[in-house]
Amino acid sequence: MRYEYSGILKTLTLVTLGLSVVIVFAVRPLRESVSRFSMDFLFPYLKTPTEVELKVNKGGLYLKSKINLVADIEKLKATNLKLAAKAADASIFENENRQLRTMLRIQGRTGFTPVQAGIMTRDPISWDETFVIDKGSDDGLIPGALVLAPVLSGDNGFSEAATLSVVGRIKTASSRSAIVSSIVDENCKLSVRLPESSSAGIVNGGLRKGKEYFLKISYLPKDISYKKGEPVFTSGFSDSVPAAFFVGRIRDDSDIKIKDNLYKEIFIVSPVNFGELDFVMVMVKGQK
Amino acid sequence: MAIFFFIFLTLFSAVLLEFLFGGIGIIAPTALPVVFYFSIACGWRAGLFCAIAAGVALDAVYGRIFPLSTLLLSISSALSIFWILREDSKKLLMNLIPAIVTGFIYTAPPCIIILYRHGLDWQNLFSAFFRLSFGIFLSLLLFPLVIVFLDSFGDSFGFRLFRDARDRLLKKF
Repeated sequence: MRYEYSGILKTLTLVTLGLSVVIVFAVRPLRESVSRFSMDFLFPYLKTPTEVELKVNKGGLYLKSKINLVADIEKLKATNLKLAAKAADASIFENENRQLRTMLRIQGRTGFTPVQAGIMTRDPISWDETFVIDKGSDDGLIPGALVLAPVLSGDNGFSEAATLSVVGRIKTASSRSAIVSSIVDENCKLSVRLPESSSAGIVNGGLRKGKEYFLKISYLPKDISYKKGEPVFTSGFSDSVPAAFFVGRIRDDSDIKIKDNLYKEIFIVSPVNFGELDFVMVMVKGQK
Repeated sequence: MAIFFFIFLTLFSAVLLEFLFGGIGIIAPTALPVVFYFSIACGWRAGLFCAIAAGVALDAVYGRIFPLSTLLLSISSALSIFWILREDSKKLLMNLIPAIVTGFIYTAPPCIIILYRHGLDWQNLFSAFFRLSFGIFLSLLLFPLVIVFLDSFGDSFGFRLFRDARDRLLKKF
């Protein structure tokens, strides 16, 4: 009798534990709640290595000689001057752009504030697809918000100097951290625009070939011809995504295919090296 | 009550260590020997609970849709119960066999997934083989260390020990 009872108890325990795991991962809101709780609970511990790294880097400055430090300051001064000149130059265009937009009654990408974030940890299985950042809903991050990264000139053969390029979108945000789903991940969808051919499509995952990352754009009109080197930008159709941020370029004519005789599918090359990102910028709506 | 804190702290440290290794791209099965230890020392229920708790934490923070770590740790926990029914827990070196087997079970599927995602070429094959070998090597290294460390710690606090697990099991039957 005792053995029968223990057998039932065993089965019940197994079934309960199994069911709890299935429920947690099958029901999306529950999965996200568990994810948020775990991220908040582990946040201080996951953040520690990044903070230690920054402190060690800062501490390394004390080991430098005064001559080297002076040389660094001189270099930074020169860079500062260059950037200040560029900013002054850009502000003229910004004013002009604002005036033209007002005249034409076109809404600008107003109302978005960039929030800088550092990458805390990554899943070794989906290294390029998802990563955890150290800013969360307390900083205004919401699921779907656009994530950008600076691209230095010459990266992946791109000539755009120090521009921002799209990395992905926020998947889940806890109060102090968030999971970013990169545009290489096929679960991350992003509406894009090809201004040269006046068409729009949806970025639908991507793939890595060597050091280059290719993004797939689906649902493009099939009767329009797309040129090699054509730039792709965010469309801004979504409320949480600002328009006109660079996504990538059409690499080759051979990357264009007609799907099901309904729409064209294009592979574009992204300037971002998703595997080596350390810092990102999240575009948050309605914050100053 | 003290045993719960002991399990929680050990498991928490192991999961955190796995996150730290994961952050630099290494699949390190650090939670695996802890789950193996508690599955044998504290019984299958505690072991399975540890496997699920550690797995859910790993999968949730990584934002995985499929609970891979939960599944693999639960399988490893079940295998450890099977192991104690067959072999004496007093022989420390014999535990290298489950270390290899569970290390392989825990590291091989992620390596296959990475290989599938990145495409099958020599560089990716070598990378996957290296990850797998390193995972098994780390598992081989950690199993005896964890058993010795947790047994000596548990001994001083009067907890149920890994080395007495087989004797307890024989007494029970």
